[in-house]
Amino acid sequence: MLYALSEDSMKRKSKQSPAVRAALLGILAAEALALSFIESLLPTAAFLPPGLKPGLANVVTMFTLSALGFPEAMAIVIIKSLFTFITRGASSFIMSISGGIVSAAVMILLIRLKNTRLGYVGISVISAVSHNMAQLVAASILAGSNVFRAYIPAVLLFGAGAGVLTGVLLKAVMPVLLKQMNHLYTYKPKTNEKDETRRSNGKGQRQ
Amino acid sequence: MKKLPFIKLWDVIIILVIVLIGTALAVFGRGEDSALSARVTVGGEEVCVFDLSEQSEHNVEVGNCIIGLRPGAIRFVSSACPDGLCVKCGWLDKDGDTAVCLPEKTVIELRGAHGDNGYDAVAY
Repeated sequence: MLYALSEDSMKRKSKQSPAVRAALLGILAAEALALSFIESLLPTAAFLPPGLKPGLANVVTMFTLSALGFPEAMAIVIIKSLFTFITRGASSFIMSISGGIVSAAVMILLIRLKNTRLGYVGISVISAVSHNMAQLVAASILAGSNVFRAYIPAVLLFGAGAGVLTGVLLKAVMPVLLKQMNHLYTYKPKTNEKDETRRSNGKGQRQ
Repeated sequence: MKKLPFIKLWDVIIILVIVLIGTALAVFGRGEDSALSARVTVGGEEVCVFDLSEQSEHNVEVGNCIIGLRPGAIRFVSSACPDGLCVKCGWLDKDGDTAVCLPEKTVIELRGAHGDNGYDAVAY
């Protein structure tokens, strides 16, 4: 399940050592990079403008946002954008980071809203569409020309579809991601026999 | 811990509204008229306008991009950009079609018989 940022998750996070948090963040960032790489291998559909991608890495961003917090999600967005900068150049970097920051900001606002009437499919759709809108603004500024007219319908329709896809995917992989996080949080290196028995007797026992 | 539900009524409403707006813009915003002219801008500055009805098949170099022309259509043939998305756009031949090469800041916009389809600037 997707947890709204709550005191509980914050408390759980702050109990962890910086090393454990860094390790978890590194794993999540690697997962985001892998997803965006897989996505770049997908062929472009004939009826869509090239460059539209479903944004699968948003699954990871959304999980990070709900399980760890906004700064961590921003870190994922920035790492992913830097990767784009290395592999595809400066303008791709600007497109990536503008969409990433805006969509993560929209996501955190929606998740933090009290009495929200949205589920995470809705949040994912709104953040996907705002991701695309931010990219259109960035593209217009970069190209010095209004490119809205040609791309807005595709961006809205594709964003809605992509948002539903990432929402469903998030539900599907949430148990795995949570398991991964809890595994790291409760991980104790094997040092001796005593430690081993303690681990098997009481899961997650920590000093 | 507060749990977010998977999907709620408002999610469906929002998705439907987005899809409706998108479809409406797709249907009404983009004419199926064939294009008459193509405007090429680099960094917002208009570099050239091609009258597509009078073009024979040839290539033109604009900045770091090579633009291909044939009667009624235009495309990016090649560009110095790393991803080549502009080239993948292929031939543009409809009123309102646009291809953008972001790294080279080059934009091709097509115009049909009705000029601008009613508006020439949109404020956001």
